[in-house]
Amino acid sequence: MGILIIVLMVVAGVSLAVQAPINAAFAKKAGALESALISFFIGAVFLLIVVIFFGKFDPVAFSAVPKWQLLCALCGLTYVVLSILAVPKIGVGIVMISVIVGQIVTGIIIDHFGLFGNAIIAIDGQRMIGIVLLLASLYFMLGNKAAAKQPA
Amino acid sequence: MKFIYAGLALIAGVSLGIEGGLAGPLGQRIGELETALFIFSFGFISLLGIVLLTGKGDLSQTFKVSKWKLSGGLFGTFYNLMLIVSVPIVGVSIVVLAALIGQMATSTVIEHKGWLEVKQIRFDKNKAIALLLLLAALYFVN
Repeated sequence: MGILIIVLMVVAGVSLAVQAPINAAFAKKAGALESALISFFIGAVFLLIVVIFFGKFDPVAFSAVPKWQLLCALCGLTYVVLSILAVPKIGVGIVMISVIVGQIVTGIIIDHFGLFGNAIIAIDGQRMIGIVLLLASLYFMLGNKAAAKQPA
Repeated sequence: MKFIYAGLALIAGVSLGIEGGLAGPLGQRIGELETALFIFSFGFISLLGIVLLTGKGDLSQTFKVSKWKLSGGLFGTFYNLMLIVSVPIVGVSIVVLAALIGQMATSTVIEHKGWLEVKQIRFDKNKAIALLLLLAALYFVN
């Protein structure tokens, strides 16, 4: 199950990589916030249709969940707005590095403590090695790009 | 000044990590599809407010550009759904790393070919090393 999920998550990463230039192409015409708005709109309409046919929308269950769990939507929005603000100022490369580092460090902390009702997956030597390899990878992937794209 | 924006980008990444940590368990309570719909509806309504108040762009472009430029949201829904499904099974860290590998490998191809109107950037030795290091990172974190 674990391996299948990891493969599917890699495919999900592929869809993220396809989404980014598509939204950027539209943003060139319509503006960054406007592009994000349309992206969320199309996504919401698509999901609404999917939920109507395959879902089980249950307002009772929805109102019974702890309110802090609903903050996930605010976090998603925060990411979109902050990255739109940061990209023109410091360039795509540095924003990507900062986002990835922030994301993985947060992920490791959430896993280690089992925050928000998640399973506990403790930090160990192997995970530390993984983080170092990730940082080395970012250096090779984006180090030059970040330097090149940084506006004067 | 730049320093502040790098800090904001870092907070953006932290927010993404927290989103995964919150959305996984929420998906188990109210359903994965329903959680994704909630996230996208909230994002749409909030951005509508932000665009109406501060937007300087041109929304009418929505009806002028070729249709593929509007398809980003569809790819986004797949990513979010998989995120919500996967976090409770393998944890946030592995989800982030696995998605990153798919993302980096695909952007490398898109940039090498110059698809989707991106600036063409040739595949080189640095990128190959970076991708191998990412795979090794996933191997160790898993």
